[in-house]
Amino acid sequence: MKRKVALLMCVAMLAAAIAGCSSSSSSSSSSDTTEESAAEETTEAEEAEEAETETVAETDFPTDQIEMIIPQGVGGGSDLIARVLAQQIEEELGVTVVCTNLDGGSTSIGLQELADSEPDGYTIAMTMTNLATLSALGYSELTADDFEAICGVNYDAASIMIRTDDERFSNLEELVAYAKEHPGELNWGTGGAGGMWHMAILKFCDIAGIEVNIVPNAGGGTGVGLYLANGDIDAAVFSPVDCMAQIESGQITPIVSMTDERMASFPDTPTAIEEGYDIEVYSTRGYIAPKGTPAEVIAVLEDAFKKAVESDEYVEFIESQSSNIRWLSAEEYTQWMKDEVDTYVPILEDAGLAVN
Amino acid sequence: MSSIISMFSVLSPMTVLLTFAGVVLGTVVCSITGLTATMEVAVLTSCTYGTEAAKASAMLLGIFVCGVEVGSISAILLKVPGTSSAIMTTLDGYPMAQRGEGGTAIGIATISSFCGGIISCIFLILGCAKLADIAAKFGYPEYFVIALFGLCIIANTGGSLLKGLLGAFLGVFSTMVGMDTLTGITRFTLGSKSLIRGLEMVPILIGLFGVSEILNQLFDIKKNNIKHESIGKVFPGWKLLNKLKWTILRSSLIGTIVGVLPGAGGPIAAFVAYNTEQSLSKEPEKFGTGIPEGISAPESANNATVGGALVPMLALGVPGDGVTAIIMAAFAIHGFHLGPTIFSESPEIVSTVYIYTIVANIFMVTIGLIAARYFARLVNTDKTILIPIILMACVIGSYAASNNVFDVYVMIFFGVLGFLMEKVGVSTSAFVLGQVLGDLMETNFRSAFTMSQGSWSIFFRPITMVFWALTVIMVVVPQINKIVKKKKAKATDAQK
Repeated sequence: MKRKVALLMCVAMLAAAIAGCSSSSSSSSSSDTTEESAAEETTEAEEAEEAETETVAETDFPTDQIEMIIPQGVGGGSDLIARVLAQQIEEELGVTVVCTNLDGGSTSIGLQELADSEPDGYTIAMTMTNLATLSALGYSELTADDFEAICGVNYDAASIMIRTDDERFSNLEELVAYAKEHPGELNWGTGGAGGMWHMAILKFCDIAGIEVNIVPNAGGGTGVGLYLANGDIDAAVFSPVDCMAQIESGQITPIVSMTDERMASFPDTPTAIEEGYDIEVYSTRGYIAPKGTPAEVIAVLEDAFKKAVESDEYVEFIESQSSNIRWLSAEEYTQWMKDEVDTYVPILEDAGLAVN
Repeated sequence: MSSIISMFSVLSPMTVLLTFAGVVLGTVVCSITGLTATMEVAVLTSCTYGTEAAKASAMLLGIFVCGVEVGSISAILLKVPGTSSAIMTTLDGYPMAQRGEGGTAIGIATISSFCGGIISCIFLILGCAKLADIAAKFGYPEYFVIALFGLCIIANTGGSLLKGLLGAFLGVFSTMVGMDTLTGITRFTLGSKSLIRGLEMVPILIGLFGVSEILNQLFDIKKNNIKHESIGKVFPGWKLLNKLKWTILRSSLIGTIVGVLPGAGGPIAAFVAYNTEQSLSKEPEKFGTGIPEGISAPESANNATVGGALVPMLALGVPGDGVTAIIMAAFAIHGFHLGPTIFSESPEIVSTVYIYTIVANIFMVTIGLIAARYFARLVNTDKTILIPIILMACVIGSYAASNNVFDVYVMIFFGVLGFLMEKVGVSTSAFVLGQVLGDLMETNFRSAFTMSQGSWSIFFRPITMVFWALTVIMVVVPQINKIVKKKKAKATDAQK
């Protein structure tokens, strides 16, 4: 008898819990939708009113909290930047900005969530260059066309880093010469295959006509600075941000940055273009909203982000991280995302990494 | 000496209070099965970004310290480890609680955790920079051999080696599901989108231990109706602690060393410490029947990894696990770069971290001992009421891991699997060991092999040789012990 009671209660609990969990997401989103559609209605009503009084189409957006999806894990570079900006636009817009980390699938999981939400500006997401390669790498069918661009806020760039006490080479010229003499011998460390920094190696080797042994690292940038410093790998291609501890202690140094101009935090590091290699590889971060978000809502958000990017807090933070600011307007960022597809997808196709 | 005194100058009432808040929060939240310190720290980070780095990190350290300790409470009382670090604690903690000594078991666990935490802090203060130098020498091949060493522990866990290997094999296999981190290729996803992320640790753990135990109890609820009104003395007494001192010291040392290596962490430390104590013990067969040493060893070891994990975070700028990654972020957002330069540039950060880890440990032991009294009464609750509540907690824990209903199904699947495995005698602990180490072993093996361009010699570098030697000792010593014992038994038989 007792067993049956326990069993029955267990089944009931389980059923209730699963039902509760699965509907909690849908019910919360549906309540969001009602709130949001209510907000939309008022917006529309006011718009209509304003149209009647023949003023410029304006919006009272935002009237409710904004959810900012961060498609990367808590504590990473993207997360920190997103949260600093969230604090700033919160002040700017006067509503709460809730950050939600939805990581995995090379950002596709968080971006899919955004694509599925209401296009009303109350759900926005940070995005990275990863978006350009999602479909080529088979993570997702999502492309930049599924979203409206809000703005670009920052970039990290690929750098080649070597040990400061390496006797074989101390600059890019010597490194390339050494690699030519010893094809396939040098170990160049990077993140997972198909990632930004892996593509940077592929493209650089192609242009420089060298052959190296690429060693992937499962933890992304975590620990790569150490592996370079302790001599396991001969060079690392990453954003210097990933290896700051070892750069600051003087064990390793960036010898070239794949950017159009020298990075503010590393004024002594020449660009690849200066060294005669036409290559630029950026991981750009920006913000997007679901497709169909009204233009005036985008304009409000863009404006808030512009002020946030210009704020002392953001400028100081990016400086302290040795990262780089790059402001791109909604229009510029739309074009930028298109260009990213044209730049990176062919690299993947050439390397045989593209799925289709 | 003056430097030690000056270290205490960083103490401020507000920050101490926040550490206290962190410990209380950690104790309450983490005592719910499946809600881990990493999760809680992640949720709280957004609040801490606004405050000073010292205050934020003090609070997070409070959660970190007791999150590891509190996981043992449900392990002891319900046989459901709150975190993977607490798996070994179930082996002796649960039988003890079943004997009506749940309070004592929690008391031993809490005090051992406290000792482990403090001892590792002392090592931190004495030799953070030196320990970091050693950790900095570890590359892919070293991590691979460590993972292999960790897996070989199953050779020691008693019972059938074949069944142990089978459990470990299944565990390693479970880490292969999902997207490969090195190439982005999806494996064993059966076309399911939910499986691309791979199988999460938390729902598997809850399923294998929590749900399977619930199933188990449902089948023999009548048999299991003996009630113990007593919970035993919470404070185990000085005599017992004196007996445990070497166990605690050795295990804390193991925990500190394992914790220093980024990525290894609590479960391995607990496994290694338990097995070391078992091998050194005069009565190894008593392990697993509910003896204090079996609780003390894994608990002091897993809490010592907390201090250890702070070493690579502070001195190398490399986080050892999820919680340290977030604490690093809390510093980064205030513009502090952790890494080799920290000792010269902002030594106050280093002392802040040391001091508040110690403070958090002191709070942890106080609150833990007080709370043990109440937690321990949980076992006396009527099973018909208790079991559904545990199941509810299991579902919440699995769901909260990544706000995904799919994880609840994963939990149920592994619950049934765990139940069946126990029935045929395949070790679920070995499964979890495989699950914890599988990814570490695979990715490091592949990266090392790419690095050496196909040469095996890379796996025989100086540091790896030490771990190969340890692995051989780990496998061979118990076999020799067995043979020696058999011979002795024969000899005594012959004498008769």
